[in-house]
Amino acid sequence: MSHPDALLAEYVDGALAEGERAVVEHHLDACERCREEVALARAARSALASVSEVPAPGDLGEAAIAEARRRAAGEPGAAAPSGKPGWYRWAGAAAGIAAALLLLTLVLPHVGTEPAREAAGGAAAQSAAAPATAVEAQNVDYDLAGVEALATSYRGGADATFAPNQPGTQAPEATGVTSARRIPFADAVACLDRAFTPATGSQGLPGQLVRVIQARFRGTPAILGVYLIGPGAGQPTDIVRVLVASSRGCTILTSTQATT
Amino acid sequence: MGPPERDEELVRRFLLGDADAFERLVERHRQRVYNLCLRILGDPEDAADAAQDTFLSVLTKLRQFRGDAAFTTWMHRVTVNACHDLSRKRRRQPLLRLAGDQDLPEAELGPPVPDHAEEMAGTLDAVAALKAVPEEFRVALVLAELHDLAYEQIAKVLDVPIGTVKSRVHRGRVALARAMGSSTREPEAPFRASEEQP
Repeated sequence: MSHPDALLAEYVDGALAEGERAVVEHHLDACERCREEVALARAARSALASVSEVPAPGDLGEAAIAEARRRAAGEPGAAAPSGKPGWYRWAGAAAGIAAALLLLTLVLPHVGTEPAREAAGGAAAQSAAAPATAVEAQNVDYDLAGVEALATSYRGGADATFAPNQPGTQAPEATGVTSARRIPFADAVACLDRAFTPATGSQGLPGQLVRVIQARFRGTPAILGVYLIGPGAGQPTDIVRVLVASSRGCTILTSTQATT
Repeated sequence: MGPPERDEELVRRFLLGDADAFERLVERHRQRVYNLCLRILGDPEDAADAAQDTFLSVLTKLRQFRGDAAFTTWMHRVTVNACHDLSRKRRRQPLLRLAGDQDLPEAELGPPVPDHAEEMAGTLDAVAALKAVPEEFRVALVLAELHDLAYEQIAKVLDVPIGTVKSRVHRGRVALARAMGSSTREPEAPFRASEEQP
């Protein structure tokens, strides 16, 4: 015997026209399985009627809104049809120019003019910001203001440090972060790459990764990466970008940037 | 004060460079998107992740929105796809490899975020049972019962025939009631045997 599942859905909804309802009822007279299922389906409808909506986190979609604002403001490359964040392409080009200038000043050390030497000095200063080599565990539940505070803490020098408990961040009850399992550095970096690097044409994230933090972002276990990005042409770093990814699924939670 | 702007008008304004219009869209749909993700994925953190992905995806794909379907239909499709993607990712790499696994049973830094829905009296059974419903049925069931989409609309969201939607909703309801241990049961053995028939 075949069973009219599609009609049963509408039968339970009470949405069948007279003719179809008669067909279903005729079937039900003879089919114990479908009688049972109709009773179950009604019970399910009734149970689902009591399920109410849950308030969404207030900052949901903030990362997209911020990106939309960047695009609307016409930041360089912001409206890239590929959907890559504008800074991604821009910073990639800037890094290329910086590398070329650095190479030039290394290969031709005595030919360079005074500005070129300054450029080399700038690049050296940039590389002097120590690259991150370990994950720093923090017992901090960051919010957007906290992430922004982390970015702006680099103002005035690439080696600035950030006090997690400064205003703008939330420091919840101790949750034993020191005994929590640490995410290995390579995995944390890979997670940031996975979250923020487009699936195709991945060349890694631009800028120098100077800090990796394992913490939470609005309650979600998160990895925060601090990247220093220079404009190229041998100029010192002038942008700090903080990328925040969920450590559970390596998806984007938020990002922000500040000028140094 | 005039009537609220239609979604399609907000889309048009955003594409002309008005970021406020995009913010309005997000604010308008935040609740719906999050709850859809929550009921499909069954976990508040995953739901927040999938909803974030949804809005980023909407932003990226908005130029592809042709207006031949209602914006809400298109938005539901993007949301369901984001949930599928996250679900697939979870199956492939459920958690990051973590050092010192012997120290703690939980692979998280902090305490789990409570599922507020489950704290609400009267919803625990249905909410918990939803997780036991096969995903294919669950998505159709949630769209029909909790988001009040018509079967025809669900067919457009899922890009399947309308008959398939009705079947999935029915099968989802049955699976949900069984997962809840509904008391309408009759002898189980002949019941299971008959289910295997085409």
